[in-house]
Amino acid sequence: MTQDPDPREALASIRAARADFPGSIDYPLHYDLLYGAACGLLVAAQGMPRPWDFIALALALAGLGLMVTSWRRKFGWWVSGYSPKKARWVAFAMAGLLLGLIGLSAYGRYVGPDWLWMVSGGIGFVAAIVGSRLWMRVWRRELAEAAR
Amino acid sequence: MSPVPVFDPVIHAPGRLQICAILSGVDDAEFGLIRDRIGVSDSVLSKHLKQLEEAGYVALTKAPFEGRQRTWIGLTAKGRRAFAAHVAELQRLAAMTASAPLGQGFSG
Repeated sequence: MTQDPDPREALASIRAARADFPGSIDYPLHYDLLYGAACGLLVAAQGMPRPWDFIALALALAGLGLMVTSWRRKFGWWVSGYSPKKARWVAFAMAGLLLGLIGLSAYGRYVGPDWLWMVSGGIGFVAAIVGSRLWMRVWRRELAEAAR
Repeated sequence: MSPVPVFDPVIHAPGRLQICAILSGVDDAEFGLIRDRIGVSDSVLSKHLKQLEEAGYVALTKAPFEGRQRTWIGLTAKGRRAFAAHVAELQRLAAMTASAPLGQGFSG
């Protein structure tokens, strides 16, 4: 391609660069499990007795940090859940659901029953895995649309 | 809201257009990944990035990884706006040339 600013050639070049980027994202099952566990712990921590609430919170944050670092190393790129225009709505919905579950854990702590954090944490675990896969699907579709 | 079409000569050079196209889909990407995707040498990519950085379109950050520094590149907000405006302009020009009779197409 030359420096000549032919618009169709330039658009074809953009499509070629975007085509199958970021390529195959076949991330292993343990990414799902780690992310689900981190979110589940984040939710459950709010209802756990001391000092387990602090320990669970620290483990959840460390797990999320580890995931980001590991993803960057493996794939060489990163995109936040809230960056893509369409997929961000899945992230907002997920954040709302997790906040609701955190509230449920706190309710169990102060009102009871005191085992409620196990339920909310379990729901958080499953919701995070399902939500992350759904987010990925919406984002891939968004990228494919942008490449057309 | 659709961006206002604006032709941007800094973005339009083939290599830089492809760099922006790749970066527009992610928050940031590693230098080696972009180099391999667009098929240029380290020095050519560095020159393109320097021009984009001088225009304020990309931000470069260095992070240690396995004993050496790796460079991560991301489009700035200004860069994202400029790229969207440039793509809108290309689409407008392409639509014009598609509808124009032969011999009256885009001339730059």
